[in-house]
Amino acid sequence: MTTRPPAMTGAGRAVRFAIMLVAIAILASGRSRLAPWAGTSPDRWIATIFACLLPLLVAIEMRVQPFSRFSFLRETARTPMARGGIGALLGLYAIAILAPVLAPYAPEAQDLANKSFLAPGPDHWFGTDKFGRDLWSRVLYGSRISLSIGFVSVALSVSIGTFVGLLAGYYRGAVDIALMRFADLLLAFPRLILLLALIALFQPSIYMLVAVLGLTGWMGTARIIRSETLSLREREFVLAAQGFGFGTRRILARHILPNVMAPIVVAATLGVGNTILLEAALSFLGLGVQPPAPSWGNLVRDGQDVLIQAWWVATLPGLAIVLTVLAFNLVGDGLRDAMDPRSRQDPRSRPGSPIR
Amino acid sequence: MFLHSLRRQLPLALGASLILFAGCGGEKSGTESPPAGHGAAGGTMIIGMDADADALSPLMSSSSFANDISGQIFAGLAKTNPDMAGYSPWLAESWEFSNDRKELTFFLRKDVYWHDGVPFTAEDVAFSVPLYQSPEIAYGSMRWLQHITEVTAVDSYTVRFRFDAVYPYQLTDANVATPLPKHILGDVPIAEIPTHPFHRNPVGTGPFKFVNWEPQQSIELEANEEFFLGRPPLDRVVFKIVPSQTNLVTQLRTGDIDFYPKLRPEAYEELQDVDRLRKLQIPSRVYYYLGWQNASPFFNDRNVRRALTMAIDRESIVKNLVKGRGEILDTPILPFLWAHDPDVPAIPYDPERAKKLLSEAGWADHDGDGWLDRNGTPFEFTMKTNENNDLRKDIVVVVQEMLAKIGIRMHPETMEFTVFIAQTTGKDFEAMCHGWKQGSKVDLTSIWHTQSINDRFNMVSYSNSRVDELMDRAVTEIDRDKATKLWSEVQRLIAADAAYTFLFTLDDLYAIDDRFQNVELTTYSWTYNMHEWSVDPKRRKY
Amino acid sequence: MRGVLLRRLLGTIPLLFGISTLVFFLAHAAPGDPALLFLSDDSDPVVAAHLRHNFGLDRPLHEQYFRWLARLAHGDFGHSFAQKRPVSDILMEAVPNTLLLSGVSLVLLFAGGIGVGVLSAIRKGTWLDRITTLLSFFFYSMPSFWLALMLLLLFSYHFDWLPASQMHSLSFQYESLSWWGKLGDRIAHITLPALALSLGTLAGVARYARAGMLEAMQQDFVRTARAKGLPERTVIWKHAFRNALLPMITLLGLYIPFLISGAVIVETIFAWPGMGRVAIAAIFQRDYPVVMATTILSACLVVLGSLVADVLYSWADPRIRVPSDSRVAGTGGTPR
Repeated sequence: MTTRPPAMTGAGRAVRFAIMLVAIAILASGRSRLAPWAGTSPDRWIATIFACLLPLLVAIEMRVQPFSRFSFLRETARTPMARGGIGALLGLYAIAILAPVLAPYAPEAQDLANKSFLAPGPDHWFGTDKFGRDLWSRVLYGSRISLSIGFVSVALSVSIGTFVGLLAGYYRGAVDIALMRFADLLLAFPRLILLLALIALFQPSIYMLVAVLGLTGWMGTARIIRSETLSLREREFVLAAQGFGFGTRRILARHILPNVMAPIVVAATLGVGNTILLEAALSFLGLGVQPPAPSWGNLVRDGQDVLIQAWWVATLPGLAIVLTVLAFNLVGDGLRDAMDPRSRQDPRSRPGSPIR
Repeated sequence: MFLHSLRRQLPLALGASLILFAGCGGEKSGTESPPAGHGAAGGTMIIGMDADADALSPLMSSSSFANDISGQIFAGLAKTNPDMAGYSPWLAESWEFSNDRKELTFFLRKDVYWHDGVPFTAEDVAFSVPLYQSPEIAYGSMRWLQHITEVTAVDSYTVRFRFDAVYPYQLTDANVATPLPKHILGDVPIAEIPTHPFHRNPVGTGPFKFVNWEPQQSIELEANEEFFLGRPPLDRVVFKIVPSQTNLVTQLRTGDIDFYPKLRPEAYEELQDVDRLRKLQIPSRVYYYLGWQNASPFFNDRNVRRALTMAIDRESIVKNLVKGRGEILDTPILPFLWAHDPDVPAIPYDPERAKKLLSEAGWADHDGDGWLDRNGTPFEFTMKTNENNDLRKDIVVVVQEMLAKIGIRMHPETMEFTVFIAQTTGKDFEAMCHGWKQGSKVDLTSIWHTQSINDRFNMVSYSNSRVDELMDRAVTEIDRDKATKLWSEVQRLIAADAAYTFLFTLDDLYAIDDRFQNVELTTYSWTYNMHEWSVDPKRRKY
Repeated sequence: MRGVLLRRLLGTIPLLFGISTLVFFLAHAAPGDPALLFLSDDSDPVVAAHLRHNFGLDRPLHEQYFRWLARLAHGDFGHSFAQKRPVSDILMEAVPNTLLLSGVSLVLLFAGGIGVGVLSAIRKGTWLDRITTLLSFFFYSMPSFWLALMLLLLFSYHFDWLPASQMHSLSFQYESLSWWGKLGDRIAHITLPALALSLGTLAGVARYARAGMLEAMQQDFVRTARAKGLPERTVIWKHAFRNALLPMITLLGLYIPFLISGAVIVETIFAWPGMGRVAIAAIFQRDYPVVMATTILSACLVVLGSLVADVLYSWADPRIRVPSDSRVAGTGGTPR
């Protein structure tokens, strides 16, 4: 964190408030139709958490700002590609929340007899699948599930990683060794195989999936936060805080955490993209979300056996995955460049596992 | 013979009643023997497989593809007829029962040699049967051999089986234990037999010899020059292992695979425009059903189960999900079997009557939320199936929608195959989508008898004392006419109780390059006459 | 140096022990019973009981664990339940195939990635740079199985240029080829899986290479070299490139676990007989001895990979020593 940009301007604040208010308004207004917690689908609680994330994130950004005088949003939006990524992400969020309004058909409405495997056309933009379900509607609804899984499990893994990293870096010694050894142990597993074993252990449900993805993804973040903390704890302001006799909890929360926010945000952004890929891979192996839930991974899987006679079933949802992950990667990359230009050249600092 | 996920299931044969050969005393080996079929000798066939085999001996192989291959390397005493109702001579030229039917004597061919040149004798048979019965081996169908008390080689070419019971399937059971070479396995301690290299490098008496096996890649067989019916026309058969369906279909199109025996309906449809491929559709031995846990408070009422069956549009499922490549089924005995009763009253598709029956049973929309409930309990349950079977998953998705239309909420739950089997056999389910493959015996006891609830495959806890009694009589009834009557009544009772919603039998779908001739696919097995398949000499590729 | 290495190697032993313990209990805690796979509806429950006994699954779990450990100490991985043969035989067949595919992908990955990265760094700001950057991100964001399916569709199905599966043609055809014919045959067969495995990551490497190259080109010694009037080519390749290459070496260690995991799906789609497929099948069949062996083996490869990366790194840049705090997986924080 070499550069300290000037404090946020009033205009920037207003934009953030606006985003937050719109998101909350969308959440509150829909009630039965839009609200992610309505209905009976098994993923509704995950979707709810996801829906509340954007307002929460914006709030965090505004809260963090007074400490580091650093606006993630503005710093990131310096290159056109990153701006595109941010735009795409906001659009995706809106799509996910507004899916019930945007979708022309119910995502699970079948018409086996008349609409099976219709090619993309004016009635069905993305065509239909085997059951005659409208793929465009399913992709829209799928964004809720896939983004929710990505966001919530990354929120989980980044929280664990931050916590472990802070503890290990601040206390050093035995705590550090124990925690990092455990992280090494998990890192030495190929993640996909670890995931398979864990998922096989329990009934595969969306909650299970989120938990498992979260619990197996924290090691990268923990390592980065640890090394940041190791260097921060020797800095004057931390030493001074210790000198004042502040409690450990206060030092960690008030003095160290705000200064490691940058790598956390980078890790989280890139992590969401990776997690969406991972969810797709698990669905491909049949261990993803239960059908008929239209997660993007499930959509691609449904189409892979009919790739030759109905290319659109696997291809179009696949493109949705690619574009979404692309948006996350663009933003993550922009963020990282903005936070710490040095890190570009050292791959070790790249958070998130490159596994898909 | 089944519990396998339908993806690994095999096919069946109807009507193809060519009598393969009747006791023609084959030529002695070594002499110039004409090919068994009328096709010219030579050529190779490449057959696609979606999974590797586990072992290639009949003793240890458990996947259906592995059994298909080992069936070409090994030969049994008798060969099952395509109608699965009787047997033709094979390694045995003939057989006879003693007067009390407790002894069965096989008279073996004298011109049979193991692939390594050692003559096949009665000693091999007498050696093999105890292996199939031994707990150290734990052969999957060892129960079939439970009534065989002793097998003795009377002389080199006569072998006698002793039974401790008289029942209609003695010949079937004696035929289960495909002979193994005593000169190879005879001195191996029994504990080492399951892991003996023989199972991956088999020596048999069948029409094809094992050449090599590259794990996860291919298995190659070549013609057995000394085969007792004469050398098979094909020089070589290669089984190519390609786990991805998309990839398999691609290779069928590009000609890298000549034959794939387990096409899915969509792929079959898609290949219709490839003129070079002959498309064949043959009734299968497999049926799909929905099982309702009779012990569950939702499904313990027969009228509720009937109502559920009425709510499910099986015609639409067959027509749309499997593109009409199947037949609606109403009984647990498949139509090609002698015991099948074609006049079992069907439960029609009638959602209105289903609703009426349900409301008579107390299930109605009392709270006005659009879903049925009774005493405050909503009609809501999970239906389990295994995730590696796409058709079953598709069925569950369609059924979910059909049940929703009459106000019943069903949640699909898919799981790994091993977990699914553990849970269903443990009766840990409310409803499930599953399938059975018809064996060569007509015997419903292990699935429908009350005694099978605890330790066998009556997973839905079906119990009807009249059915138990009729089945107990039927399985020991030697007279086939009397047995047919008994089975007919059993089928009617089971169908009326609707413990299962019988869905359909899916036909076996094949695509085969049309340069191959004499290919006779049967419901019993697609390998039925592989020893007669040949290539049009003018169009031989390799 | 040698002492540090030795310590690092010794440090992996408790790690491997921890992993094997974890996997053992994890695998056995999972629902599902390997014996059930071999049953049919004709089977008695007795058959399953016999099988469980024969597999040793009827013993208490801790006893099974110690028996397994004892055998492992003798280098014996046991017998596969499903394939009824020694696990070591299975691994001997599968591991070289996986290493071949991973090795080729790794070469492709670095050669291609560095090439593309350096090219776009030299042409910074041009349309070429922008397009490669965007393309890199595009491929990097792609699910590997989707990419594999698309490659299959395009090159095997539509154009019919490349074989869609197996490692080489069926042996009866393959054996009749000349030495060069065999080589060509193998190359044709490995192309699609190696591409599917490396394209996405190649894009990642290209990003790093570009950033590293840009950074290096701004450094003093490069400016000095330019000022001395050395030809641009020499400046770029002799001075900047060498320096930019350094951090790439650590990527090597990072990508090894990925190549093994990623191979699972690619191997299935292209029928490549490697360890990934063995591992997946074993997990689904609850073939415990094989599950244990494959996890331990891949953990070994991962640990070894990061060790190699660390050693390479310290060899390439003497300022950085192999970390002696035995951070085994070696993907630790930023060295500053």
